[in-house]
This record gives sequence, C-alpha cells and structure tokens, in this order.
Amino acid sequence: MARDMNTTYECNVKPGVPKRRQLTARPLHVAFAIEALHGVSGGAERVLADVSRIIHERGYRVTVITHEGRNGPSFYPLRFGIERVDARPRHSRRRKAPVLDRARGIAARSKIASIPIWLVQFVPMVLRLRRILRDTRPDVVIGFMPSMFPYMSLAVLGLPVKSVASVHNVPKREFGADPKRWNQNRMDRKMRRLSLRFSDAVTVLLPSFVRQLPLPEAAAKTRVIPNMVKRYEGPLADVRESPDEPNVILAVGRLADAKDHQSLIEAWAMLEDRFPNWEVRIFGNGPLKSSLSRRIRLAGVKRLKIHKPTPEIMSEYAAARILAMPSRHEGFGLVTAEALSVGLPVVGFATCEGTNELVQHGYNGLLANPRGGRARGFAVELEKMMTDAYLRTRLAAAAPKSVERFDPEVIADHWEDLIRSLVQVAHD
Amino acid sequence: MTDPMHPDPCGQIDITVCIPVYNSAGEIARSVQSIITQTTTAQVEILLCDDGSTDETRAIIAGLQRQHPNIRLLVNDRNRGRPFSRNRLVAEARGRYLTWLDADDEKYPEMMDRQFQMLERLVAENGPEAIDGVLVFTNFHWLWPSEDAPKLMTPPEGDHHMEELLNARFGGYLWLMMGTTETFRTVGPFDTALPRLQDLDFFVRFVQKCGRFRRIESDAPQCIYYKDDRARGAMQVWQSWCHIWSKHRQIFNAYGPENALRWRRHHYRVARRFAKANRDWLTYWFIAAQEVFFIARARARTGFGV
Repeated sequence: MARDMNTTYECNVKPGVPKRRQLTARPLHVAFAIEALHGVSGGAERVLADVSRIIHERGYRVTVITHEGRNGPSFYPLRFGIERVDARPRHSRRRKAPVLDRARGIAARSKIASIPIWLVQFVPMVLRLRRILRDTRPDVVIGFMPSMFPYMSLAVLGLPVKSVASVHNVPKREFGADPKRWNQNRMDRKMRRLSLRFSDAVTVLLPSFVRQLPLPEAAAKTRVIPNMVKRYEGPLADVRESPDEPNVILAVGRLADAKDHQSLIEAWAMLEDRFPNWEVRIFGNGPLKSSLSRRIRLAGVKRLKIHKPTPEIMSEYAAARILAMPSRHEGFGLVTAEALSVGLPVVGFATCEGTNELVQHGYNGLLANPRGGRARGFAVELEKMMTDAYLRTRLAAAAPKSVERFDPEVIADHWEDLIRSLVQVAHD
Repeated sequence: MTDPMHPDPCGQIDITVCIPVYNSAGEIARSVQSIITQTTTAQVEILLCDDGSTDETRAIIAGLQRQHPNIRLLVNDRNRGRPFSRNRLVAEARGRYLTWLDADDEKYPEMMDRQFQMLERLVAENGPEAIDGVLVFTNFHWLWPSEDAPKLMTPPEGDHHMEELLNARFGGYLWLMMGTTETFRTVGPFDTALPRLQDLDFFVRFVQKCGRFRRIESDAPQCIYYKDDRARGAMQVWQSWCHIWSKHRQIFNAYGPENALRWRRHHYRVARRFAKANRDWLTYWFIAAQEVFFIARARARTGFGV
C-alpha cells in the first residue's frame, strides 16, 4: 500500500559532504481545505475523505483544514495519521440579528455596499487560514468548493504554498448561473471567478466542465479529476425479468428539484398498467417529500414507493433491474457510477450533465430526449428497456467496465500527478 | 498452551508493556509483579528503560530478569529524562500491541486481558484497519497518600476528545491505554522538552491525527494510580504547562478565547497545587503573581471575566 516515495526533490545529495549535514528528505505535505466536515454528509466531503486517505496511504503528510468552528468528528471518518485543524474559533460570539442579516443580504446585492460587507465578512477568515498555513507549512493546499477555494487562494498569496481550486459541481452553477448557490454577495461571486486566476491549478469532475469555467485562460491549468468509484466486489445485478418476484426500477437521490423525480412519477403513470411485474422504488429524503407523495396519490400509481435512504444501497442496486436517473443536472453522478459498477443499466436524460458523460446511449444505458416533454421522453426509453430483455442484458454486461476509469487507485494517480507537478514547478 | 509470561523467544509477541524507570528501587518490583500476575493468555514482553538510576533499581531488575525471561532492559548512558526513555521503549517494542506502566503504579490482574480481548474483537468484527488509531482505556483507581480509600476515576468516552483533553475532563494517562504499536509510532516521538505532562501532549497529537479513545466494556477500575504531588518540582510542572500552552496554542484558541483562558487558568491551579504540596512557597507565589497578571491582561484585552 505505502509506495516508496521519491522525495529527492529537496534532498540534493552532494558527494563529499557528510550525510548528516545535508538536507533530510521529508514527505510532501498536502493540505485539503473544506469549509466543514462535522456532521456534513455531502458528496465533496466524501471525496475529501477518500482522496486524503489514499494520498496519506501513499506516504504523504496530509493535513485537513476546516473553517467550521465546531471541531467535531468528521461524518466520513478520516484516516488515522491525517492531521485535522479547524481555523475558526469555536465560540466566536455572534449576536442573533435576523433583521440585520436580512438588511445585509439586500445590501450585498448592490455594487458598492457589497465590497465593505465582503471585506468585513471574509478578511478575518482569510487571515485565519493564512495563519494556519504559516503554522503547518504545506507544499500544496487543495481548496474544495467555492465556500473555501476563493479565500484559500487569497490566503496563500506570498507564501511558498501552491493552491488548487477544486470544483465539485457543474461550474456554470458554481460561478454564478445559480445565484442562490453559495454566498449571494456580488463581490463574493466576483472573487470566486477571480480566484481561478490566483490559483495554481483547477480541478473539475468531467471533461465537458472545462469549457464552462468563467475564465478561458484557466483551461490550461485545469485538470479533469473525476470522483472515485469503489470497485464492487459482490455479485453483479441479474437484470433478467423474473416472473415470481417484483422487477425493480430503482431511483436514488435527494428528493429535490434538481433530481426531478416528478418526471419519473409521470412516466411511470403512463407505463404501470402495461407492466404488472414491475415496480419503482425511490430511495431518498429531502424537501420535496410531501409534494412528491401527493403527486403519487394524484397520479394513482400503486407500485411506486418512496423509501428512506439506506446504508445498504449497494445490495439494493444488486437486486434491481434498471436504474432510473431523471435528474436535470448532476455534479458528477455518483449514484449512476455506483449503479453501473454493480452492472445495472441506466436510463437518464441526454441533456443531464454528469449522466450524459457516464452513460453512453446504447452501450451501458439509454438517454432520453426531453424535447417532447420530459416525462414522455423518459417513458419511451424506460419502456424500451423494460420490454427488451436482450438489450438490458447487453447494457448490463458493459456497465461495470465503463466505470473502471474511476477506480480509486487510478483517480489517486491523477491527484498525485497534479500535486507532484505543482511541487516540481515550485522547485524548478 | 505456552506460559504467556515465558514466551517462546522465536514466537510472536502480542503485547509489550513499556516501563520507564528512574530511581524506583522501592516500587519497581511491585509494578512488575502486577504484570506477571495478569490473567491474559497473550504473549507478553516487559520492556524497561532505566534512565541512569543511581540506587539499586538495576540490581532489582536483574533479579526479576532471572526469574522472568520475558523482561528486557534498556539502559540510558545517563539521566536523559522520561520522554527520551519513552521514545526508546516505543522504538524497541516488539509486540503487536503496546501498553504502559509507570514504575510506581499497578495494574489489576484482568486489565490487560480485557484490553487485549477488546482489540482482538474489533479486528474480528471490522478488519485490521478498525484498530488503526484506536487506544483502548479503562476506568481506574486514584489514591492520595492522605486518603484511606481509592477514588474511582471514569474518563469520558465521547466524540469530543480534544475538548475533553484540553479542559482536563478526560484525565487519562498513558498507562490506561493499549493500542497497536504502530499507532504509538504514527503519533510521533514524545517531546523531550517536557519532563512532565508527556501524556497530555501525546494525546493532543494523537487526537489531532484523528485518533480515537475507546473504553473497554467493563466499568470496573482496572488499575491503581498512587497519586502524590510531593517530591515533584512545582517549577518543572509549571514550565511543562507553559510549553504545552505555547505548543498547542492554536488548538486551545480554536475553542474560542473564553474557553482557552478558562482552561489556561487550570494550568496555574495545578502548578500551584504542586507547589503547595511541596511547601515551595516561593514558586507558589511566583505562579500566583503570574496568574493575577494573566487575568488582568486577559480582562483588559477581551473585556470579559475569566
């Protein structure tokens, strides 16, 4: 596991000089920075735990920097040996002032007032991060998501630390297309875009995301590093139709607008009567739970149920026949990738970023065209998949191979390559 | 089954008990005996490091070695301090697991067996990675020389280890802990600038590196600590607290200025307690004066009471 690390970059062994007087090699020090880890169960937090684990296993010194002021344990446990630092004082006193907050929120949208508001809000954070960097002295710091990398890219200015801005969602939305995402301050949105210029490298999850970055010059320093998908060791899904047990169409995801479970419900309402052996199971929780339940009642479908999220989701994949992925957009599509690794064919939308990169129409799944109505388009592809057992088996057979490129070791190689290239540049 | 206290020299050692020793002729035999009488079936190695004792300690250890071949002795060329001995012990340990004992304390007979069983159970249930960075501890007895009955001490087992270490609620010691030898090595060497409080410094670094404490299933005390503040330099204790404070200042501050200052005052209190026990009134008033100055400065800076 622990691979022999070549740390000669700062170990210039000179012949004739006693060894003890020469610089000793030390492992490269990588810091991962993210706003919060305590009790946060999001995708990027999981990626951070996975990547930091493998990088640490490979012999690097790893520090995880947060700015949450809670100092509690991480939802996804970090590997023993990784140092954890919280930059924000825990009980920094803050008065509750909803009216003031509201007023500040409105003022932050104006061109002029947004600047002092931003400065008051974020300069202390930048200074705290800078102090941590000065104390821990990493070689490279990787800032995760727009709630961290803009401030980290400012905190490293003038320090011998290389900074990486790591984008973990669709860049268009991260950099302003969705104004409700991240801080709504005008200045903050500007700083988010500007930070791409300051950063020494940028990472995005999928190739098509590179051209979405708001700064065209950033493309040259951008690397595509997808998420890791663990290799599935258990028995693969058997997608043949069974006459005895229910044949399950599975949908997994937060019950939120972006996942568009509504289209799935409407599509199923068109199909249910013709497929008595089939049923739909949706696993998830979220803000739209009651509204979706109402829609299910109104549509009058009987064999479509919403279940709570389960930690045993892999066995649910393995017991299903088809994965339905009606999302409008995905940051990466970890659910899709996991289902493919279990050998489950996927039905998604051709316009859904994330899904359309993981799923190739007719190779490992089917992609619906939403032009004539999302539900109708989805129903067409779902029906094709349910009726054609040969097609399903063929797509299922190709599925696990199609996600081999996301194997943790392969992805860790990408990260390691990025870290080394930055340090190499610094050393040269 | 082979006798665990006489392990096969070529066989695998399960547990190394590390004991740093310095001028402990009066107590060392009792402490080692408390290891010999452990009920565990694991293969045990007792590893002592004599830190340049000037009394009969070494002769007594030699006598014990003749009776018990599983005792191994390391000797420092001169008195180099306890952290140095601890670093040697960790480097030399051959067991899969490692635990500690101070020369003047005792383990009750079942302690090591319970800790060993718990570690083995965690491995059996969740694989070998489950005990990476896990230290298994027990409740313990704490006996002051002035008291007749020992007091039961129960360090809390929660998620917020760092806070409980810094606010002194955890009150754990190295000799309560058993973990893999690799865990002790991963945390890094003991700080040789700390003649006292190495436990706290070690645990802070352990938790900072994502280590976790787990209590054994039993609430019964498993060892006894003969607590005595006398004959221990209060100034040394005070300097060690100051070193801890400056070294881990950032971590203290992460809990906010109010907590950091409250916890810092605890350091003054403990150092004064040592000075009082030793009737070292000069040090006592020196520390008290510094405390007054510290409080005044903190009040002036932050404007709240501490």
